[in-house]
Amino acid sequence: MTLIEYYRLSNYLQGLGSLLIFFLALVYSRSNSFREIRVIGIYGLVSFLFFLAQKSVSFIDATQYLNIIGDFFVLFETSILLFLYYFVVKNAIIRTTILTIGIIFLVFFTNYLFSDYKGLGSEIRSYRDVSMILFSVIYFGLLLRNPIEQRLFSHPMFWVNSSILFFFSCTFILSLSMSYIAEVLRDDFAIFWAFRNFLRFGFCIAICIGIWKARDLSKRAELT
Amino acid sequence: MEPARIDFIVMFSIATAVMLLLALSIILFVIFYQKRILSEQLKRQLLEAGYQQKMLEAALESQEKERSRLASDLHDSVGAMLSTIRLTLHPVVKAGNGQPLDQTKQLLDETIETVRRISRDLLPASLERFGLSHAVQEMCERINMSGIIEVQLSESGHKIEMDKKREVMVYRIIQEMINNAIRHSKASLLKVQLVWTETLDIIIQDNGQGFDYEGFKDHHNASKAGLGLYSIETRVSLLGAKLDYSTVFPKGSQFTVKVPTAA
Repeated sequence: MTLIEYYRLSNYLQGLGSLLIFFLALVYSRSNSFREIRVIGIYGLVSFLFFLAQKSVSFIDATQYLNIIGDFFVLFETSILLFLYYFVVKNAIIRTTILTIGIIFLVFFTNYLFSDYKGLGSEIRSYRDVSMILFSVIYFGLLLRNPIEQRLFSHPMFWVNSSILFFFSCTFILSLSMSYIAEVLRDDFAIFWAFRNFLRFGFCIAICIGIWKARDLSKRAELT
Repeated sequence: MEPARIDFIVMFSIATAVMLLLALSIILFVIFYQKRILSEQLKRQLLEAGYQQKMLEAALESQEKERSRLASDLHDSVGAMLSTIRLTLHPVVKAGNGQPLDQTKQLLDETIETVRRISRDLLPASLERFGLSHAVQEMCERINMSGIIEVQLSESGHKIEMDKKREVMVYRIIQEMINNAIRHSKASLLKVQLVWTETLDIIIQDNGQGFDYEGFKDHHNASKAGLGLYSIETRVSLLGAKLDYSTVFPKGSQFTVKVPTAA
């Protein structure tokens, strides 16, 4: 397998992961008492639509890579995941923090888009990663402060939060050095991006496990 | 490969690995910490349950002691005094001084019988002397003689010697169940079965109107009423026994209690 083939495979896998999240959430959200599954389902759908958009552009013109689609995906991804944390966290101070971080991100993104647009967006991706790491750690802190009665592995948000922490921690350095890689190591960009795509596939699978656990819990709740 | 490129790849790999390790260590910390919290909670719950069980045992034991004291006081002093009065009254009645004295003697006989019955109910002497089977048999015979309801007692299997405290608790369960059936079931027949296997199975079946056991429990748990059922369940839990309820076709209800013969 050539490097480009690896990259393509990783790209398709991460697209498939997004689609899987959307379908699982769609199937189980109706009978599910965990309403956060719907938010995760929207995230899956948006990710898949952006994947399709990126693919369509490259089919039309294979030499063209429109990073602006990726940049807007970062905007949607950050907004949806921040909304997910806003939805699951009931603490007023943390909710206000989430809103503040979200608004700052929006201002930052608008500024990046209109005044200093260079086309790679290391800053907005790093900001997204740091925000996600921060809120996933805060969520774990809240989980330890008010421990749930069931086993942690059967708690859907444990899987979702772990995957967010794991994925965004791993991609943080990549986000930070994205501009450098694109400018200096242009030929190796596919390797780094394939690494990120494989990680994202794992991230999607962990989220799917979370949705599956939510289904199990709902079934048990119906039986009792 | 150029040194700058190699340097970057090494730095990138190290930094990503560090981030990955940090994320993993946070996840592992959460898993282990939550496990510890849950095991501590479980320990605390077990301790509380043990303490509550001991409190209940002590309460029931003191209740039995009080019953025993009352029974012996009634039997030995009130009963004895009434018997003495009856004896002193006997010559006067024999002299034939009239009907009012006959009525007094009859009333006195009834009072003596009532005192004996209360004393027996409080602490059946046969339970102490001859054991559980005999005491239950005596209780059933007494109810049959009263004519309130027909009680059929059957016993099968090899009897196993039980601790006296446990025997008293089992006796109280049977007594309370029979009383409940008499009071609420509107039944004409009550079947009591004692089946001795590795456990003692007590099956009490009536042909009454039956009742919604789960609904009754839910309703009365909130109001703390239904003391009869509550005391049965308390004793059942202290014995480590299992209580089951089922409706009987075409009508009636059946309670089954499986009591381990050893504590």
